[in-house]
Amino acid sequence: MTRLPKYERVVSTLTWVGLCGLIIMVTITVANVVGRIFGFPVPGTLEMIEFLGAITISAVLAYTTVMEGHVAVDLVVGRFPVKAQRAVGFLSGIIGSLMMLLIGYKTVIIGMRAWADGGKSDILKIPSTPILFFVALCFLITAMGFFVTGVRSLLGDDRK
Amino acid sequence: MSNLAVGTIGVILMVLLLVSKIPIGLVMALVGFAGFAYLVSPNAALEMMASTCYGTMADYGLTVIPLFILMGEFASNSGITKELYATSNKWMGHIPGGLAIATIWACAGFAAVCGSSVASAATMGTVTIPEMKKYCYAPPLRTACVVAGGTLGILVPPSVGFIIYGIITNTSIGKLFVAGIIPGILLASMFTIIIYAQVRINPSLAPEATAKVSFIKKLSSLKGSIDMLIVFIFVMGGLFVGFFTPTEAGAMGAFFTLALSLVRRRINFKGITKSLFSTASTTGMIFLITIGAMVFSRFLALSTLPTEVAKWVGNLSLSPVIILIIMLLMYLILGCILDTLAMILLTIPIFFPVITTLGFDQLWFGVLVVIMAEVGLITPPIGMNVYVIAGVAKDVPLGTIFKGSYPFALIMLGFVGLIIVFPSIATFLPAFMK
Repeated sequence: MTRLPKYERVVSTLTWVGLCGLIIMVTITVANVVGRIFGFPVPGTLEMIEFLGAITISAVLAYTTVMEGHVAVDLVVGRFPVKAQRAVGFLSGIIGSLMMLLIGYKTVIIGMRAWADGGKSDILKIPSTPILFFVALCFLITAMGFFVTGVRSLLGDDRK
Repeated sequence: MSNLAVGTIGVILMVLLLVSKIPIGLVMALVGFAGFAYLVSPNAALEMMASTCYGTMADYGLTVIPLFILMGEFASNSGITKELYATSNKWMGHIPGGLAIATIWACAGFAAVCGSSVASAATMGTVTIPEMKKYCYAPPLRTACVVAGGTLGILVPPSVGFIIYGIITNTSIGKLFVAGIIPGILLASMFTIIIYAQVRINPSLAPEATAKVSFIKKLSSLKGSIDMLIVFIFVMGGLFVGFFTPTEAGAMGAFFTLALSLVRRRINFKGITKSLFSTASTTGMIFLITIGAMVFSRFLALSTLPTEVAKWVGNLSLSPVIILIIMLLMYLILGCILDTLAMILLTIPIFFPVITTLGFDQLWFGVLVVIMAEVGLITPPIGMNVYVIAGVAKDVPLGTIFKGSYPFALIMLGFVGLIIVFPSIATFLPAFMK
């Protein structure tokens, strides 16, 4: 548990990366709208926003996870004895962690395939592989987040 | 086992797992993945799940969600809620139950820059409940009016509910936003009438009305809320005339809300950071549910369940309106266990083919779905808005808040009936759009 704050620093850094993506998204879109009025739209806005969307959203997933901000219904489990609730919380964390690991692993494979195929965006020719690798990294960090929240739940150390 | 049987088992399994405290998004993704793996292969299911995740996150249409959340957060952290409340109070304070009525209109005003009901209730609750308590408003009324007013958050545009509905059904998000304006104003008016009627019937709910404020003072009170009105007209106007896409409207809205707040010195660096991190948390929450629902709907589509349900319902000898009412009642039941977004994401892939088969207007149905999802926010046992307000008004028991919310829930159901009878309430404004 002593290493937990270090992990949270990783998540915090990742969240800042995502938030920077969001700020850039706002800036590019506003520049495009204003530029369009004067006949100079920003070329490739749509594909930049799509890539930035992937970066932003994947980067903030881990933050929501460690803050235990995901929506869950505890209508039934909430009535269980405390120990059973902790066990369910741990199981939930493990399931989340495994799923994120699987998605992260497959996203790496998709990224490698895109690299081999030379996958690039249509207008700006941005290679999709680095973005896919970043998204995969975010999934792996989110997997750790689910694992940590599961362990926290088992130890009765929930944030909520 | 037939695909249809696997689809049906998948739906049942998912409903069972939903109450297991596992995050809703994970449950949907897990069942969707397992079902797809059974019907095709584990490798294909993994490929589908990973590509759906990336596709959802990199979907241009869905990027509107963090942008509108950011706009609402900037507005919330700039202290606009206090100004809105003060303005509403100047205009409504002299009516019996005036502070509660002012709360409803302040909520409607805040909903115009915030797309989430829970966020609207939480933000407005912290400002309005202490004020109403000071003036001795009865606990059920002072809490329930915020619970109900908060629900306007996903009806008055911008609305996360409409965005999600629009993406799944391929309906214009701009038109959905505009379709929510008249119902939002009408519902706020109906909430006003029910508060007035309650106070008239039971004067112990609220103190004597305050003295009437002069028209000049009323007009000058608009100064504090004018910024948000400008942003709303700018964003919705741009969407209405087709100048913006919803994503552009979200970005422009966020940018101008921040710019105006900075110019008026209403927000500092701490407020900006808080807005950004709140946006991160809410975005992560919404997208896990959205990704899960997308994975689950891929499995559902493969199982042919939605099309079979649509065919079956189409062959029923029931009138289309009865089928519609049955579907809407399903929302009332689902609202007992699910949150708004999950409910919309889960039901629409099944209900929407039925709606198109029956020939109903998809904008109109979108408005009905969003209002029904709102009813779920204020009814037991899940009623998210009630729980949020219970956290703000710690001296009021949960049961009292639920009890106070029932008249509002009934009004909302009556309002759904009104929109069924008069669809133009929802479809009138969008008809003028390009």
